[in-house]
Amino acid sequence: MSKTRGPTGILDAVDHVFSLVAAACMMLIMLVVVADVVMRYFFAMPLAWSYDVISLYLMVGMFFFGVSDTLRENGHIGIDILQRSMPAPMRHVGEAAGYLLSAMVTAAIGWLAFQRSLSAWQNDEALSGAYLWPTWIALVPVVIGGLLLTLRNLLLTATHLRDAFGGAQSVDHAPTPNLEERI
Amino acid sequence: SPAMAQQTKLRVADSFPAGHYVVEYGTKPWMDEIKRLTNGKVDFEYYPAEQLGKAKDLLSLTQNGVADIGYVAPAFVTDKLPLSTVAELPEAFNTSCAGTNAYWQLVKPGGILDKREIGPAGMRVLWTMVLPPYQLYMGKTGIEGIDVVKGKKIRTTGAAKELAIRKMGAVPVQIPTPDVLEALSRGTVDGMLFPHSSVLSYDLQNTVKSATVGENLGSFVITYMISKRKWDQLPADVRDAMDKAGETINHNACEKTDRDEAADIERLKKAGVTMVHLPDAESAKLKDMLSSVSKEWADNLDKRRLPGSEVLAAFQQALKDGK
Amino acid sequence: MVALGGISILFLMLAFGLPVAFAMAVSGAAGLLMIGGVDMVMGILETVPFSTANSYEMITIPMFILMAEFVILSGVANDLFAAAAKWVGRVPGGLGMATAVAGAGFGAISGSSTAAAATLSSTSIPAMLEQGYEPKLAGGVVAISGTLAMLIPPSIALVLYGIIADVSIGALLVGGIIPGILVTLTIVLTVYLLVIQDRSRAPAGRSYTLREKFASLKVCGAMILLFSGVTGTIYAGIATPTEAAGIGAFGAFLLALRSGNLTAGTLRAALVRAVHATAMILMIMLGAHVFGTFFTLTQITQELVHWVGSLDVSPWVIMALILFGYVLLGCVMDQIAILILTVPVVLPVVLSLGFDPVWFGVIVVITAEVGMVTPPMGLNVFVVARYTGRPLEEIFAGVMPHVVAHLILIAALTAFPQIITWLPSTMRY
Ligand code: NA
Ligand code: NA
Repeated sequence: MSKTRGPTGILDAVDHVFSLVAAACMMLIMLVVVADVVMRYFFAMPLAWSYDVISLYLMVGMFFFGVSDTLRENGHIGIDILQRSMPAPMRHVGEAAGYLLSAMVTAAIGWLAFQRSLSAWQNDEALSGAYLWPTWIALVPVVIGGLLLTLRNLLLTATHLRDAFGGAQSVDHAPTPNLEERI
Repeated sequence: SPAMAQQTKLRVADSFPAGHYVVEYGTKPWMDEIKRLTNGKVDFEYYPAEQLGKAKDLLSLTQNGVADIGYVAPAFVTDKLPLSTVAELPEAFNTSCAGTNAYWQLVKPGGILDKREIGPAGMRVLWTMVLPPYQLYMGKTGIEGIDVVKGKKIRTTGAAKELAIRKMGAVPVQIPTPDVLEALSRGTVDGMLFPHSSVLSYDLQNTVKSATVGENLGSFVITYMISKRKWDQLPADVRDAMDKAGETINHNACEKTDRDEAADIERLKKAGVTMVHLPDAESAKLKDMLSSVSKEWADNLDKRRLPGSEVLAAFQQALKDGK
Repeated sequence: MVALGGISILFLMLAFGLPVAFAMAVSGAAGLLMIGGVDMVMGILETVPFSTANSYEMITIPMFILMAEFVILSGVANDLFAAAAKWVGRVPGGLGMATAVAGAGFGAISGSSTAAAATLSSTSIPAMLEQGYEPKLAGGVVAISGTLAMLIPPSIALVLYGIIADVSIGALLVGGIIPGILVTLTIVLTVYLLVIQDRSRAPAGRSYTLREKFASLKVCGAMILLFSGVTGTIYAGIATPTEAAGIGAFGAFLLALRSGNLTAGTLRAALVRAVHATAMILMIMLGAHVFGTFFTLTQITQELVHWVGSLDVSPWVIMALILFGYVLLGCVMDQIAILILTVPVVLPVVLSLGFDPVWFGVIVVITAEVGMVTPPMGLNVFVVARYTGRPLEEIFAGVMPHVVAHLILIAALTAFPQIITWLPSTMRY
């Protein structure tokens, strides 16, 4: 993790913390699947809650708690062939516009999830399986992920605007994915 | 031209694959009937097979206008429509039409589910179908009596049917439908609750040994809904046409389905599946076991200050009235 | 017109290098705005994000990714090359062939092509260079052998295709086995032909005693155990793909634990890397769902299927054009993005022409393999270049003969589709 100060540093730290929560969800999914299989094959007692807990909470948590940290790491793939042949200011303006539009979309995602979660909480909504699963909790990661993505997109917008007009071209913000993380 | 200006275009969305019987008996005839009744004034854009969204999202997508008319299965949205699953309980009906006619009394405009749950969600039911009740299938054993399921792993879906499995002393297992074939043959599950027609459409007839006939171990509810917002925008004659077409389809679709059920049972017999009419004593024992399922369902909703008992009583009354 | 607007925004954003996921979400949202106004955009953005992640069968992807992380951590893969080299090291080009075999072995326990290329880079390239191999040949065979991991099960690419196309994931994974072996043999044969053509490219290596050879097989035990634990159980019908993926990840976790390389720090790093890779894929799927809904509402896919059906050409000509298009796309785009972006549009056409969806999934993944090593966007070549410090051009040149060989194999598999569809048809249910 880079040790940047200021708002960027704070956002980096927050993203990092949530990525660890996402990592915990990942580990739990593995353990629950194995436990479920063992209980079913050897004890004829499948875990009645595994299906719902994994799909409703752990998968959603793993994705939305980890998605912003992935953007921080430039982990979302792009196509950089054309971009490399563009004049730098033009490229930065284009990217700034793109990240601003992305921020609008992710803000809408977070806000809509917030409203849905709030109304689910107020109306006591729950999915009924072997147990009653409150749906507002399942939506919390979407709210947080949407918020963090929006902040990260706005930060990228600001950085590209600064680079387009400020002249400081020290950092290359083009997507350079972490090769080791790719499949 | 003025005729063109009056043309109404509606997006219909569901999750059924091409050729599915619900579509052939319900969705398509319903659209044709509307076109006929309005002399082609209404035109449909039909999006099958989850093209507009997953089955569990179709209520939301219809509420917020992505689709105008959507397939809503209450079992997929128990957080939004918990009361509307009442017809999935193991109650006293054993044909699609008996269930459908009774359920329609609850969801039609002015019915208790329309007033207490579907209307408040901003929706209106256009037509509905309650599937023929699910039966018990065993993979490798016969069904001499109902005790054969004790301690066995039975694949099922939905809260009410899961509860029913528990009441019978068996273990409910959740497996996606496409995986059932594998699960049965390798013994991950010993049996399942399934409608006869789905056994044939998922090609399971050679993997199962025996099945009950004429019992009710729970069912599945299909509705097509429109948002009230869209409904209010429709011209009066189109709304009339929808009301008329709804009554027709409710009646025709379940009847065709029940007729198929009888044919399916014959096909299953031919495929070597032992189709079991439980002896009266065993059948009574099963009904006794399952009698508390509905009550528990209603009590749990009552506890959440939802009119569970009231809705259940209304459904039971409608079943009696229909006989 | 509306369709053109949405697609233009997509291409513009892609050209500026924005992440594919966000480019699709933004252009899809803009298209929905044009079709149905703010309500429609909001309606989709309210349901799609949660729905994308809220899926049980999707866990196959993170579990296969996690399995790959633990396999790397366990170090099991490092010994694969050494073992293969002992068996074929003395044949002309033996170390090159051993690289292909080790790539297949790695692919049998991991679904990650880049991880395979990285592992092979660190083990087999130094050995080949030390023996006097032409660097071009060495880099090329490593880059192409790495791609085997996305074809031989467990394969994340095949799972992804299965989810998008709604095709049996078990059948797809099993369908990857025979083509995987054929691709391995193709690489071996290509190396052999290159060396026959010019013996100086690959000096002969030393020979090993039979005892040394059998001793080297010890490392294969863990590999075979893991392979049968995942692919074997799927084939035999003992486990569903989701179960097998979870068990595979856990098995690799135990191997990592046994190796002593598993600490709180390495575990955390492996988990976070797996989270990043999963989030990247799910975010593209989210964007693709938004864009896909827009695209569906324009009814272009239906018209495309209709149009193709009305053409008076042989289905084989259309299939050739489709595959050619995939090879071209593979030059400039990421393989995962290609799958998610194109399969929903192309598959209905392919099915309407009467082709088998399992066959098509495997063929698309083999063309994706080619895309991993073609310039200018050739991920595996980037990995090899980074690990070895050799110039990109050299490795792109070295892999070219393999690309040609792959294309010939694709043509053969298209002419005889039963090579792919036979094994899945024998699966025990
Ligand atoms: Na693999
Ligand atoms: Na490429």
